[in-house]
Amino acid sequence: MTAESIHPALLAWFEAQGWEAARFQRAAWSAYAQGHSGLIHSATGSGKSLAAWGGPLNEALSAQTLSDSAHTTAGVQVLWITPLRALAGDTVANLQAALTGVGLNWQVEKRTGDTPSTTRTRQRRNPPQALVTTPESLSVLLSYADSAQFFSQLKTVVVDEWHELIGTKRGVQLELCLAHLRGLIPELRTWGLSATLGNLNQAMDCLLGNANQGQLIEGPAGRALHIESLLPQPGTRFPWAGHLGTEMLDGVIEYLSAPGSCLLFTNTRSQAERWFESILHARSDWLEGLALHHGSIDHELRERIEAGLSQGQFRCVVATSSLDLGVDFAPVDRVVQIGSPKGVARLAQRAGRRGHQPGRESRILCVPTHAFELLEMAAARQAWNKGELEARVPLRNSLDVLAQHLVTLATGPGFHAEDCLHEVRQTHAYADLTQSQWEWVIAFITQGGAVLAAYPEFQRVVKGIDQRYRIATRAHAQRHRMSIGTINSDTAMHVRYQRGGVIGSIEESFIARLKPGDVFLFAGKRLALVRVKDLTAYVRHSNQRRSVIPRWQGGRLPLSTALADNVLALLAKAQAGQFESPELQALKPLLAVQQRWSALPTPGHLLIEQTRSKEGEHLFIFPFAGRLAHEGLATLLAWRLGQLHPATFSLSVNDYGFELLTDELPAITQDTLRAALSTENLVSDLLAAMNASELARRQFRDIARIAGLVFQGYPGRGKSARQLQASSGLIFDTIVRYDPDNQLLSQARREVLEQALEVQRLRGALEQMATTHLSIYATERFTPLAFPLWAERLRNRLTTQSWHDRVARMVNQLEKAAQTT
Amino acid sequence: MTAMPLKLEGLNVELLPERAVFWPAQQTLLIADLHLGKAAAFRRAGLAIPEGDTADTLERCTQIIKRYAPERLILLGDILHTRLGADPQLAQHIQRWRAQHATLPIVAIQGNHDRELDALNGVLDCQSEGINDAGLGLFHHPPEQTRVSAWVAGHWHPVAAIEGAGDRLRLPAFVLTHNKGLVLPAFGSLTGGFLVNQAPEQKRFITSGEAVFCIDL
Repeated sequence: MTAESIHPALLAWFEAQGWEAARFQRAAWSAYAQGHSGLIHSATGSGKSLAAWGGPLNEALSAQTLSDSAHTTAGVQVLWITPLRALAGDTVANLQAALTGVGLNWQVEKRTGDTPSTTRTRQRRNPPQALVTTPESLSVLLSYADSAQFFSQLKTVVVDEWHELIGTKRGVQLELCLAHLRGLIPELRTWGLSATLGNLNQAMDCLLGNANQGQLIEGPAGRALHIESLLPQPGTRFPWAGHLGTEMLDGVIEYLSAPGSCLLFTNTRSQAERWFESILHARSDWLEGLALHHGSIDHELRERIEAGLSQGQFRCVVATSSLDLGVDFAPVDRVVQIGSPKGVARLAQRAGRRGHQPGRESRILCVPTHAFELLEMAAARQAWNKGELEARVPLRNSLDVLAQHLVTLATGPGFHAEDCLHEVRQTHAYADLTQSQWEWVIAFITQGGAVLAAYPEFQRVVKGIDQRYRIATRAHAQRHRMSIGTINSDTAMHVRYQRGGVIGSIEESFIARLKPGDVFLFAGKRLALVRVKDLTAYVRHSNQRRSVIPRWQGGRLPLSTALADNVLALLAKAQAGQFESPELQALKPLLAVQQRWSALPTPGHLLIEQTRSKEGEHLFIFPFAGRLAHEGLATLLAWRLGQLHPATFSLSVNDYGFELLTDELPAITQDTLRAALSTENLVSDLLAAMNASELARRQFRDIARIAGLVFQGYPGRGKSARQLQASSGLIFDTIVRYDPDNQLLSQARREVLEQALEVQRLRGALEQMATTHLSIYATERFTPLAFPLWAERLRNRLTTQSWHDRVARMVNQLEKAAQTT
Repeated sequence: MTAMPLKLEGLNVELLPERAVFWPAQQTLLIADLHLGKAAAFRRAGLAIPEGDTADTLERCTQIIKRYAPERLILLGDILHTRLGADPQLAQHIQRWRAQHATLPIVAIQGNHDRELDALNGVLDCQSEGINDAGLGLFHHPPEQTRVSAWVAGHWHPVAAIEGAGDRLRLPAFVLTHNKGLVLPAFGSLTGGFLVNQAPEQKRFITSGEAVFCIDL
């Protein structure tokens, strides 16, 4: 863009800030001015937001100059979508700062699930020019009859942190909403902001839909990334399983002792709780300078922590992926990653939180929680240097999200089937939606599906004499608006002090396991449960040392293929006696133990170990295909072995391999294993195995909620919705029995295959195994590789025994235990 | 099918794997929480749940009546999930089922869901309160612990989790408290469960569908 076409006010503001408009920012502004859409990708904190915001500012400034300067345009001009409502506040402040800076008389406001209803009503009557919102709130906006009017002045939609939405159902929901907005405003421009991904072109296709003519704009080249690991002291015994070694804690404390601020990332919320507690226990004098930040902590408290971080109040903030996002909060001096980051892209993103001064390299200290994580850290460095970044695979044909979206449109202005199908097929997610799938979804929302057609009492969406589909009643509309949203979650319970004061929220399933008086660790506090009432857990402080840590859903990503391949390559080098990195040097003694007791897994050799213990017979297999594919492999193998001899298996998986545990294993030979690991009938065997296990039923939980098969109730009115409450498991069982052709069941199975089991990766692993050498070792004890699997608590079960036999066996064991104690 | 004999303050009853109780001295069958018409109520609210629960629940009733040939059947509340008036088909369904057992006396104790139980008067012997019968209190809501004599009730939909040998299940459960009060699992096909944990003065009996097991030894 030439200097003349950039409005002087924008340039003047940049100059006043001491900035110079970067080349990629000018490129984005120019593309915007020419009416283009696009995707801007770069590292965190490089000025992506202004690259997207500058276009609309420039245009509005020019328009303002042409007309009366006191006159402001009415109606929403810019819609800014942010994936987290906690980020909306920051975003409003940033956008406002730029508006003030350039002297544009615009209002910018946020609208999220937290926005009070009076504000929402005012916004609908008198909308701001720029509205910051979430995908769910955008859906709600489309569920009002006058949504076309509300958005009639819209010029552009900016989607922030688009990489966080790709591959999720929230992303699909947004694709549908964007297609609808494009239907209303054909010249609408869509701009996305994304971190660097392995599949940027595909990411842009998803954002812009099939008419994609967008421009991919690359931000400034990423800074150098320096990955180092905290190594155990020579001679210390290193924890084999997922325990926090005190040795590591000492090293971390020492690292934190230097002046300056630090962000300490963990992979799960429970890990964050544990590290926060351990650091505080070791250094109680740091109390004031420590904070804990994760998704279950009350959002006001989180906002205070984020603000404190910007002001340099904290020595260390322990955080989960809750701080992976966040537009432009102040950089910190040091970044620590606890445990393996599981992916190169994520590690780079976290490392980018460190100081943004030009020329300063990104640096991250990785702290292993068990020995083999050192391998992953060395592998991450190798993958980064080779430029191997992970892709985020977008979802296709999610019928649950489509059903929800259609009910949303029916709740709003209503829709014509043909026009709507055309609009839906403009998205990447539904580009190849078949006519029969479409008809099924329409039947589902109007009659409840083919089977329900015989029951006229079903009501949700009805077709009017004008052929338009509309919501049946106001009560249905109200219930639907309450249910919009696709983030999966267990019912969240508030955690609140008896004397008032909300601390955060925890999944109901965790609280359900506690009795009054039980002590648990939450938000860095030791809390005793007092009582549970109306979806609130009342607690008080406790000094009791023994406590349990809630285990939250989610947050456990599989090791990416890029990392896994690099890990195996490093092991092959170790086998050949090459220990090039400090991590491998540190692992040398442990790898020697593994080699002495069994062998090292290397490309071309599938390592299999068999061990007997008090618990029964253990079979360990190490394909290095990531935890999801291992879950599928373990289920498949257990099921196939169970066909030889009925048994109940408990399965345990991690990123390197899996374990099968049972009373008695059939004889394991090269031949039985080859047969059990064949790709023949893979999908049908997997599906059969999954019916025996609970995977599809579990997967159905989200689908049922998204498609509107369960109703979660009105907030604060828990009991009045009782009559409509049933667990998704119960509904799944009912549908399997009475409506087996229901497409949502096939979707549950497909999702389990594609997402929960990564069937492509699984098939690849099996194909590879078919040609590799099977090295079977009978080991006397658990080897360094086997031990973490044994210690892994999260176990799955698969059984080919009858329900009754299982119960009898468990009761038998209980009785035996009772006799011996 | 293996029933589990149990004493409630000296009264002998049998816990049946079919989620029911048989009381031999009175030749009486007790079941709780049928929730008939639940799927239809969901459908009226726009939740697409297929039909089948009501027929299945009534069919299972018929089977246990045939199997144990009681002289009387007592339903311990929550027979209907919603108002009968909203669901004319349901009334017909119940009447057809009743006709199959025309000579069997059936007592229905009103539960919190039974807002229009009176509509079934004449079909069933409807009682708005719990009753006391030959030394056994029969209720929908479990009574206060201070009650002196034995009782049987429903309402909780108790389930219990059992774990062991690397396996875990959640099963419908009978809950015995202080050796005199018994809460029945829900009988209806489309009923969820309330997880009951181990507690003092309480024993849980789970049913596998074929046999009843005590899990608090």
